Amino acid sequence: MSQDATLRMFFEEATDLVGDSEAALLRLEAASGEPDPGLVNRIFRNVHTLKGTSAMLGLDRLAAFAHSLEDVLVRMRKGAQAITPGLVDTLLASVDVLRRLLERAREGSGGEPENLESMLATLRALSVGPAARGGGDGSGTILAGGGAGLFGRASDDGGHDPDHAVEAATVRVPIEKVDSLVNLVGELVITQSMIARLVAHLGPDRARELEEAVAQMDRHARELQERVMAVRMLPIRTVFGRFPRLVRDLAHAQGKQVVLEASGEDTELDKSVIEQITDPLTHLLRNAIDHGIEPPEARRAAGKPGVGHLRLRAYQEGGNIHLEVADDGRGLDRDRIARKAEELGLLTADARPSDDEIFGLIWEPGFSTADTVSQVSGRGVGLDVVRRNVETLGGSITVHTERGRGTTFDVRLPLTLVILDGQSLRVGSHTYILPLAAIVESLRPRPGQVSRVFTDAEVVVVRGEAVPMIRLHRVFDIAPATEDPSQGIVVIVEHGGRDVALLVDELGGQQQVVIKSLEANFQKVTGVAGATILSDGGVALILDVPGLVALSRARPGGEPRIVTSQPVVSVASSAGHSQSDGGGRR
Amino acid sequence: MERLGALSGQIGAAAGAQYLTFRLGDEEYGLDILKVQEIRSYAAITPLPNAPPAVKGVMNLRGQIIPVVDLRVTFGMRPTEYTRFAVVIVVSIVGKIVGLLADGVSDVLTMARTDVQPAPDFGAPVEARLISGMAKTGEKLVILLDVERLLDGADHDA
Repeated sequence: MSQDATLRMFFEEATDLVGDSEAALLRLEAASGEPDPGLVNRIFRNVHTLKGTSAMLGLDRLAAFAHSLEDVLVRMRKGAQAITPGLVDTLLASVDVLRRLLERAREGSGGEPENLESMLATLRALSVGPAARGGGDGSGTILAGGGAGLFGRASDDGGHDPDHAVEAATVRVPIEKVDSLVNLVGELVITQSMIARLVAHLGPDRARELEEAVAQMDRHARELQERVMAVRMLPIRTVFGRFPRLVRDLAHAQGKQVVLEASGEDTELDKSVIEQITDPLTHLLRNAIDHGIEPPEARRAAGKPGVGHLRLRAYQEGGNIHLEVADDGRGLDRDRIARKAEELGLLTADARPSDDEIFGLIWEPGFSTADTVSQVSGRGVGLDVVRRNVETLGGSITVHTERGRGTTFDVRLPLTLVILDGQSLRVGSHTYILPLAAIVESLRPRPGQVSRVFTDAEVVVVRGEAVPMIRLHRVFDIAPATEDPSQGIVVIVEHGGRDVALLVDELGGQQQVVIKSLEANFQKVTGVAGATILSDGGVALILDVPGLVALSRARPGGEPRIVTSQPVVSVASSAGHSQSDGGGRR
Repeated sequence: MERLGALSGQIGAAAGAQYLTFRLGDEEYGLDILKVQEIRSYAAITPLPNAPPAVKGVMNLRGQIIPVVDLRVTFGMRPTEYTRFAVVIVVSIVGKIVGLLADGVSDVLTMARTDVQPAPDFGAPVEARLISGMAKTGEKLVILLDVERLLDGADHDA
C-alpha cells in the first residue's frame, strides 16, 4: 500500500517534471537567439531528478533513457553542444518518450515505445558526438526528420496525455489550503469543547454564553465547508500549460507560424469543470490553427505580420468564468458557410440570412468547411461537439468574427461549484444575492434624484451621470415593500463596462455563498445566475446582471430601453437610438 | 410524519405495477412508484421570477436545488394555500429531480394491468395527455399520471 502511494506520488511528480521540461524547451526554442542557461539548467535538474528517483524505484528503462538524455544536457550546459532547432526537436521528442515510458510504467504494461531504441541511439550519438561543428548540423537534420514523424503519430493517436490521467485520480492541493483547513478544524474542536463545558454547567445565566458559542461554532463549521470546497478549485493554468506544445506542433505540421499568448492562468475553476473543458478548448485551438490562421505568405499578402497570434484568456465576470480563444486569422467565410449550408439543406438558396444566422450554422452537427480539412482536424468532430460539451457544463459559447481580422470564441462557464462573495438584498418578502464583484456602490436616492425619461425608462442621477435604473420588483414581477425609490436602495452595478442601477427595498449582509445550479434539475432562468442555500435551509436566488438588463429590455414597458449611462445633458438626444433590437432576450 | 415514514418505507419495497396515490382537492391521483424518490413535508419554497405558472418555485433538497411544480395549476384547479399537511412528492425523471406539490399522500396501491383503463377522451387536450389511465379501487377512481409528460408541460410551456 505504501509502495502504491510512493509510486503514485512519483508519477505525479515525474509528470510535472516532464511537463516543466517541455515548457522550458519551448521557451528555449522561442529565445533561440540567446539561449538562457537557466533554462538548460532547469531541464537538466528535472531530468536528473527523474533519473535518480526512477532508478531508486526500479524503473530501469526510464532511468536509462533519462541518463542518456542527461548526457546530452550536460554537453549543452558546458556549451559543447549548440542549441539548434533540430536539437530542440530531438529533446522534445525525448520528452515524449519519457512520457510514454512513464505511462507504460504506471499501467504496468509491457512493451517499449516503438522509437525508444532509435531515440536512445540518437541521444548517445549526440552525447559523445565530435559534434559541435559540422557533425552537429548533420545529426540535427536527421533528428528533425525523426522528430516530425513522432509528432505525427502523437497527434494521430491523440491519447498521449498521461498527466491528465493522473489528475483524474487525485487532487493535489497547495499546502496553504491544507493548513487553513487544519486551523479551522482546530478552532472547531475548541469551540465544541467550550460548548460541551457550558452545557455541563448549564444554568439560566449561561444561556447567553451558550448562544455565542453555538454561533461561533456555526461560523467555523461553515467556513470549514467553504475551505473544503476551495480545495476543489484549480487554476486554469493546469489546462493552459499543455497548449504551448500543442500549438507549436500543429503550427509546425502545417508550416504556419503561431505565437500563443495566455493570460489569466490564475483564474480558478472547479476541478470537474477543468477536466471537462480541456477537450473543447483543445478543439478550439486546433480549429484556430487549421482554419483561422493563414500560412505566412498569405498573411503577408494580406498586409499582416507573418506570425499569427493566438490569444487564450481566462477571466471572471460576474457569476461566470470566460475562456476566450482569439486568433488574428482570416475570420469566418460567410459565403463558404452559406454554400455549405445549402449543400446540407440547412439553408434554401433564396434565403437571405443575417450574419448572425450564418455564423450560427457552424454549430450544426456535421458542419465542417470540408475543403480545408487537414490531418489534425476534420476528423468528424465538429464545433457542435464543442458546444455540447460546454452546454453540459451549463455554459454557453459564442463566436465573434471579422473578415480578415480574426475570430474569437468566447466560452462562458457558470460558477457551478464556485464560492461567491455576495451581497444579500431584499425585495418584498424575497431575499436575493448579488455578486459583490459586480457592485460599484449603493445609495438611497433623494427625492428627485430618480427621473423618468420618456415614458418607460428611468434614470438615477449620480454625480452628474444618468444611470439607467432597473426596478428589480418589476423585472421579476414581485411585490415590493415600496414603489418609492427614495424609500428603497439603489445598487449601482457594472454591466459591460457601463453602470446600471438596481432598485431594491433594502440591503442585507455580505456573505460567501456556495453557488448551486438551477439547470441541474430545472432550466436556466433569465436574470438568475444560480441559487444558494441560506443558513435557515431556505433557497436564495443569485442575480445575474446581464440577464436582468436583458429582461428589462425585453419587457414591454420595462425600465431602461437605453442601457448606456451618459452625461445628463445628452440624455434627450439618445431617443433616436433607443434599443429596438427586440432580441435582447435569448 | 409517521405516516410519511411508513409510506416512504413502502416505496423502497415496492415492485411491479404499484402506484403512489395522493390527493388534490377531492380527486385522487396516482404516480408510478418507481419514479418516486421520496416524500417530503411542505417546506419553504422560493419563487422563481417569470417562471411558468405551474412552477411554484425551488426548494432545497439536501443541498440540491429542485423545482417544485404545483399540480393544481397544472390541472387548472383553483390554487389554494397549502397547509402543513401538504407534501412534496420528489420524483426523478431522466436525470432530473422534481418536486410535485400535493394536498397529501394517501396510499400505495398495487394494480393489475386489467384494473387500469385507458384515459377516456376528455374535452381538454392539455390535461388529457398527462393522464396515462384510470383505475378503480373499491369505490374510488384514481387518475394515473404520466410523469414525464407532466414535466414537459410544467417546465417548458413558458
